[in-house]
Amino acid sequence: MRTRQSSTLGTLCYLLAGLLMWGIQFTFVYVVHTLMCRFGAPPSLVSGLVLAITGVAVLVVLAFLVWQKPTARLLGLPADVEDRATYDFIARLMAVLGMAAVIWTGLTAFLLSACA
Amino acid sequence: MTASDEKSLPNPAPRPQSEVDDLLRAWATPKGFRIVTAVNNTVIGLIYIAAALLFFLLAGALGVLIRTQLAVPENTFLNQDLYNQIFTVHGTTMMFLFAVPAMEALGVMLLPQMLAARDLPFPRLSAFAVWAYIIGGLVFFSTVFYGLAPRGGWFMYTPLTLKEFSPGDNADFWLLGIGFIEISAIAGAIEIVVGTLRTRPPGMSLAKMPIFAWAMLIFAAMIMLAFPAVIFGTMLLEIERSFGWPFFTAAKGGDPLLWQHLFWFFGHPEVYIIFLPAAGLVSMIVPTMAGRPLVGYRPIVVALIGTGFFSFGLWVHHMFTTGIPALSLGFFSAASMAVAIPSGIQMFAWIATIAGSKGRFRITTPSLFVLGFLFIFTIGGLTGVMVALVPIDLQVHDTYFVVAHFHYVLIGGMVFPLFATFYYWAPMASRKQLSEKLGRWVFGLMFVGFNVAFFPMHLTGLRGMPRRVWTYPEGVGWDTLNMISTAGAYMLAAGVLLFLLDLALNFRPTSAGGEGNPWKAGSLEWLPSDIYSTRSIPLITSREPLWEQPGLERQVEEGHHFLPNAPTGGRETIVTSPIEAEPEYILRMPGPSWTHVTAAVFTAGFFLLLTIKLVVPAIICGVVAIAACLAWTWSLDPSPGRKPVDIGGGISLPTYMAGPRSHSWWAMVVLIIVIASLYTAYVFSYLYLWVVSPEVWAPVGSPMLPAPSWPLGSAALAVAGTASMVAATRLLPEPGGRNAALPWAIAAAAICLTSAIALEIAGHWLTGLRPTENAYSAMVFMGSALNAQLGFAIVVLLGFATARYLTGKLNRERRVSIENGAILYYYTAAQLVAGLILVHGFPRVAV
Ligand code: HEM
Ligand SMILES: [Cu+2]
Repeated sequence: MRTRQSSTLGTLCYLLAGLLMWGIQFTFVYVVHTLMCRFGAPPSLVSGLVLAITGVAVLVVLAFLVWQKPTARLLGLPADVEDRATYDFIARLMAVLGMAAVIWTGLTAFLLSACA
Repeated sequence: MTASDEKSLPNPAPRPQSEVDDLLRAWATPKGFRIVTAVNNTVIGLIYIAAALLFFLLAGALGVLIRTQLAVPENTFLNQDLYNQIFTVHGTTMMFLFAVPAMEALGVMLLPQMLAARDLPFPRLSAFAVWAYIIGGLVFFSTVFYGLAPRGGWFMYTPLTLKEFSPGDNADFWLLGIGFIEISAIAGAIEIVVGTLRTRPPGMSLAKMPIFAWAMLIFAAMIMLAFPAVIFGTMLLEIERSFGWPFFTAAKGGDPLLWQHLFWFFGHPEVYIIFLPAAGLVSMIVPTMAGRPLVGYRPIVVALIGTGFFSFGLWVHHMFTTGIPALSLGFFSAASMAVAIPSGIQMFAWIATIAGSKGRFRITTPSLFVLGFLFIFTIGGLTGVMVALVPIDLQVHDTYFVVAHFHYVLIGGMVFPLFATFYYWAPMASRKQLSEKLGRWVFGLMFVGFNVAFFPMHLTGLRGMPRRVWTYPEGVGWDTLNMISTAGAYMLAAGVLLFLLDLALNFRPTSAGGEGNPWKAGSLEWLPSDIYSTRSIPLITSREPLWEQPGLERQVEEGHHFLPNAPTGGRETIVTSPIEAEPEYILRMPGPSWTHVTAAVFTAGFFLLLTIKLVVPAIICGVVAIAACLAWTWSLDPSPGRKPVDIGGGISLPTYMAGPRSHSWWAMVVLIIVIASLYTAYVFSYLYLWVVSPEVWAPVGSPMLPAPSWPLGSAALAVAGTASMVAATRLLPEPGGRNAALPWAIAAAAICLTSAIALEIAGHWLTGLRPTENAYSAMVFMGSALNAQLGFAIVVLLGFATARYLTGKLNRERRVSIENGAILYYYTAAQLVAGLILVHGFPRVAV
């Protein structure tokens, strides 16, 4: 038996990273845009902000994909844990799915006027 | 497997037969009427499934009544008021008393078997939930016979459901019905999270967990995040109806749309809460019938999790027609379409598995239901993408098109997999398999009947027929289509009746192992088993152990794997680590008891009596229920004073665990997540009402906020209480010892917390603010109401801990009963302070 066990919370965050990012982006754009429109900000500013948030989210997910191994280590997943390849694959696919969702959600800002 | 491999098994030597007798004794089910005290998951699970099936039949009968009324125009079979009650009870029962409980029931029944655990981690909790649900559900359903049933549709929109427009107790019965599913859902979430993460067999790492267990884990996580929104919503609605706190009354600064947000933040994920376990079941059945491993295990896990996530970004699609900013509509429309992607991934994986079997895919009754599911659910998904498009939704909103859509998704996505499950898993729970011959007829009638009944509704909807109308005029082009729908509904019902006949003829329930492994499946629930589950708990090295670990059945049955006996003499199972599933300790579990049954009966009584406003008897029931719960929990923290026990493979495990690795800690954390989501719903509601009408936050003429010394005092008390709670956990005596300071520290903590809550309420009250005044004041007091609830629970828990200390059952080692109170305490103190910042800080800075 190994002495070092993987961190439960860390492993979950690692697996879910991409979708968590989507969740954060979605909450952010929804809240920011509702508040700004409610209090009369110019729609172009709102759209710009939505796109900016989306851009940041995309970058974060990209960074996760590029530095996947170090992130896993940071989150307490030992390199020799059984089925490590499976976790890596799931995390990667989840990130790709999350990224697609982030872009897809953000795209609406290109198509619609923000506060109509 | 060679002889030398057998030597490396955890317990290679022959085992004595007396161990089986010990196991049988420890796990014996009570006989006769005492069966109601049983807690074994195979017994309780079967009762649970039977109850869910009963509600399906009852609500289905109402569906047939609805169709009978609509068969011809200007029909007078049902009057308008009764019709309204019937569709409301049909929808509510199907969603809350059938669909979600059915999935929970399958979790109770199947999960421990698939994980080769001897039982769920909290056997009495499931049993409690089952009885509360059966009693509460039956009472709720019977209201339809007395004209007492709610009429507001299954989502009970305000303002229609406010006292003014829905007088009488009818609407309150809806809130009651929901109350029970809330209890059983949260109990289920605790069981499932701890069960899937901590009671897997040694070696079954997260990456080897059966897909159904993954689906149930996500199901539980979604319950933890989604249900609190509707729990909070129903609290607000009931408080407004009973005490007039105007959360939803526009004239007083409330907003009826707040209900829709809270309801659908739960209601949309609910649809996936129902669908994901069903998809998990399909992922278990398909590989067996195809005789090969599932194609795309990993993408399917991703798809399940993705669906779970996305489903929280969809709720506004039920509100497209309520006048929401265009860009918001855009976000939610986009997310609604995105959720089709993970569903598509699963579809392709199943099809690939079937295709990959190169024609060996067996056409059995379960596979027919699975194929039926693929067909129907795909159509439902397609119309789903249609209604996710805002312009289409504007056209078909509240028409029969939507009724057709959601029955395709619900019946296709959940009822068909459920029937596949009945046929597939019956041999596990019955001495006899269900009839393959009758099964094909059941499928045929249900499949054709369903499509004949519901496909035409797309067309009646497109021709403008609104939903929830008790009758319609002749000659507007709806007559024939409605008649066809009704004929189809009868055919569907005939299929269900034939299924009942099959059950009566062939289903012979047993907890002693059933019929073996007739489908030659690869997962652990098909191991030879008895009332104690498997003789020994297998060491797992693959995803389809029965296929890839030859001889496993025999080894398990002969006791060559872990824990082939009952070393403590009672019920026990192995707790393993959450990711790698390495054995950590032996969980000693409680057996049959009247305590949780009493608690369930009186909890049901409490809610029922409260609904019909018999307050004093209700309170008496509540007190009895709490007393029963305390009696129940009294036995749950057994004395740790035993030596570690040998489970085989050179592993010795302790039989007691406290702290962050214990199952009770995990259960408390799950509960705290639920409570925190509920509080988030409160914060959302507070801010939402402010966003909608900042000019009344607070309205002109409202009293000023209390001086800052009030909230500061309250916060100081919370901090002091926390310190004293920390001190209490440090003051625990050595086993056998005493520490007179401990009860005082506990009492100080309790007093600080209650005073902190009281101070906050008093501060506002003394300024002259009253909760019935307007939505703002109602929200202010609501925050304290939530804190007070937790405060009450903590006082009970701490009193319990004190009693444990006084009877010598609480010390440095045996400390679970104070730990639970302590973590809840820390959370509550944090929630209280956050609330103070919101209620006192926000209005001071808001524009
Ligand atoms: C036995 C087969 C069934 C039949 C014949 C049936 C029939 C119907 C009909 C005709 C309506 C529309 C009533 C109206 O708008 O006036 C309806 C509503 C509804 N049904 Fe079913 N149904 C069946 C099964 C189910 C199942 C299995 C579920 C869920 C798992 C379900 C959930 C609902 C819901 C949520 C509503 C909406 C109620 C409302 O408008 O408040 N039904 N059903
Ligand atoms: Cu929805």
